[in-house]
Parts: sequence; C-alpha cells; structure tokens
Amino acid sequence: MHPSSTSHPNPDDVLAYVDGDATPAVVAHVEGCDVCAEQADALEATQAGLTRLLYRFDCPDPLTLGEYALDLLGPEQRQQTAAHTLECDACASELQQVRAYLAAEAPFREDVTGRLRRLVATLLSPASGPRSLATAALRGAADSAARVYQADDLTVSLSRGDGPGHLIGVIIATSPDQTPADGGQARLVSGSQTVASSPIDDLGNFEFEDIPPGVYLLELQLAEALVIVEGLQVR
Amino acid sequence: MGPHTLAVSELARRCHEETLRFRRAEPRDDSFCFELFERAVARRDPDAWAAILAQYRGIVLAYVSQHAAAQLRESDDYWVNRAFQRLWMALGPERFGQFPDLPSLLKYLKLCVHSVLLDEVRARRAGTLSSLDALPESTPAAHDAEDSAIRALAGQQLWAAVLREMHDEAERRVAYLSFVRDLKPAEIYRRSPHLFASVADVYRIKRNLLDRLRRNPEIRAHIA
Repeated sequence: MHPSSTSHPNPDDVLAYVDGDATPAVVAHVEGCDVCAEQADALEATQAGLTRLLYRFDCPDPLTLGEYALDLLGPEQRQQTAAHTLECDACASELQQVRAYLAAEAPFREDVTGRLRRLVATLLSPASGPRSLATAALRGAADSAARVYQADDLTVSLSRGDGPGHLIGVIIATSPDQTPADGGQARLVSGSQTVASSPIDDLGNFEFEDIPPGVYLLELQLAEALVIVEGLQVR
Repeated sequence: MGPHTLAVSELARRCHEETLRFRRAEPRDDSFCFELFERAVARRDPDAWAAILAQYRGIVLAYVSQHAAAQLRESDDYWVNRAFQRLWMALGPERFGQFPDLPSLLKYLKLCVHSVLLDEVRARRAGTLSSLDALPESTPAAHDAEDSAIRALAGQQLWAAVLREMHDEAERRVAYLSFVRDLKPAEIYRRSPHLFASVADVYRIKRNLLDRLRRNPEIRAHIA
C-alpha cells in the first residue's frame, strides 16, 4: 500500500508510533505505508542505539550503591550518590532492594529447637517423686512448697527463693549415669517473649530473679531435649 | 594461643569450628575467622585466601539462593566464583581497616553476591526493565568490573558527543530522560512541565534531535 503524501502522519506521530503511543489511525497507516515504516525504522534504530549505550551510564554501579547503604563511601562519593538516588528512580529502587537483601536473615543458621525432643512436663503431686534428690541439689533455702514435674526420664523441681520474683529450679535425670543439663539454658516465656533466661549448671541448677508476677512457660533446653513446664505461676 | 600466632591450617580449622557454633546459635569466638580474612584480604596470603574460599563457599551459595535474581541462567558455582572475585578486587589492604569485625566482613561478602547479580541484570536488560522478577531468556553475557568500566567510559564519550549537538536546556532534558533514563515523552513532560508546552512539544523536540543525531558522523560511529 502506498498512501499519498498528503495522508502521511506528522513525523512526530511516527515517533509516537515507535514509542507505542500513537493513535490507532497512525498505527494503521505506518504499518501499511512503506515510506512511514522506513521512517519509523530509522527513528527506532537511532533511539535503540543511543539507549543501548547511554542507559544508566551515569548511575553508580550496584557495588557502590551497596557501599553507600553500608556507609562505606567517603564523604564526597557519599554525597554524590545520595544526590543521584534522589533523582534516579532506578537507583532508588535498587538501593531499597540492596538494603532489604542485606538485612535478610542468613538462611543457613540451624533452627536448633526444631530438632530437639519436646517434652511437656507433668506436675506430680506436691512434694512427691524423687524429692529428696531434688532437694539435695537445690541451692539456697529449701521450700516446702516445691513443685515437682516429670518429663520422660527427667525430673524438674521448682521452688520460691528469697523474696518475691525469685525462682530456683533443678532438673535431674532419674538415670544415675546421665547428666542431661550441663551447658543447657532455662527460659521463662510470656506469650512470645522471653522474659528471663538462666544457664543450667553441671548439677542441673538454674535460677531466676526479679520475675514480675504472672503465669509463664518454662523452657529447659538441653542437649537432646526441650522440657516444657506450662502454666507456671510466679507471685 | 591467640589467632595471630597460628598457622593458616590451624586457623582454618578453628574458624570452621567456630562457624559450626554460629550455625547452632551457640556462643562463638570470631577472632579466628577474622584473622583468616585479614591474612587473605589485607596481607594477600594465598593459603589464607584458599581457606576463605573453602570455608565460606557454602555461605555464599546460601546468599546466592536468597537473591531475587538467583534464577539467572548460570550455575550457582558461577555466581559464587564471581562473588569471591568481586570481593578480592574490591577489598584490599588499604580498605580492610573499614571492617571492625567478622559480621561486617560477611555483610560485605553478601554485598558482593548482590553486586555481581545486579551487574548482570542491568547488562541484560539495559533500558527496558525495572524489576528483577522478569528477566529475558537471552544469552548471558559475562560481565566483570573491566566490562562495566569500559561501558561507563563509552557512555560518557557518547553523552559528551550528544551534548555538543544540543541547543538548549529543553533538548538536553529530553535527550537525558529519553536515552539515559529511558522515559517516554509523557513522563518527561510530567517531570518538567516548566520546560515544555505539552507532550506533543516533547515529541517534536525528541524527533528533531533524533534526526540531528543520526546525521552526526561521530554519533553514528558510536551506535553502529
């Protein structure tokens, strides 16, 4: 098809066709007219060549943007990068991306608690069970209101220490040749928050002080098990 | 014995042990790994560098898998190698003092992973993409710092030639936002309404300067 020259669109409209912004009438004409199609091809080739070489040529490279995010740049380069990212949407977006990426948790840390045997302790009758053994291991004053829990082959004894908010505990294994607790950790949890933590010594002792009144979950993380005492009330 | 007195092999062994502690969320001593990094990066000890590659290859692989552009069509090993290469090139004795501890060094190593992936993203889709989510299946091109520097220099030279053809601020603005930022005339008008009467005005200016630029022999030589 060779439309007459009087029906050719404005050259600016041919450029709009190249940019995908032309009206349907212009699109139909250009696609059916050798003259206008050739003009469009020439404009597109020039534009594509320029964009291929010039696109973001003055943008800081990704490493520099990342160093800016980590505050590793010198003052002059930092200022230049800051000024650039204020005006360049692409760099502002990449800066946001690199900050999020660097802040993301490393995926390789093992979730230790997920591998442990979870044991929910059962409250035995007060002062029953292997109490004498538990009492002998307690530090500080013994308390006649000690509560004793059983979880599998483990016994947990808890009692009030000196003053309010003071909790003393011990965990022992009923199997005499097993030392379950050395290097373990005791935690008092309220909701999803750890309120207090205490190391468990080589005799199985642990202790919490200044615990606010409330009901807590006690977690005793051992080498191969996680013992849980639910509904522990502290007054 | 302090880490400074240990042979590289012993240092690497202790670093490995402490890294295992870190992965188990246990208390650990970072001084052995930090000493290994210092010997590798600041003193350019080849044995220490080999130990760093062996020790942190898995971690870097994890960093690669964590990245949004990880689906780029290269093997993971390729990106791991490129990341370590980037670390070697970017961090030398004169910069090591900027890193006070092991976590800061590992964060920079993670940044190196990001930078090699982003270099590839930028190179593959110069001009049309702003998202990492949609990448073409085009043939990958290997890009390193030298390639990037050459491209930047070529861009500067071409831009200087383009500027010499511009007559006023309006043309310079259209040229910059069209070719360097890849914006359409409607967006150019929106950003600078004080320079243009209308979107049609932007199209007129752009078409005029395209016609002028493609007749310029120097510019034709650049884009040929």
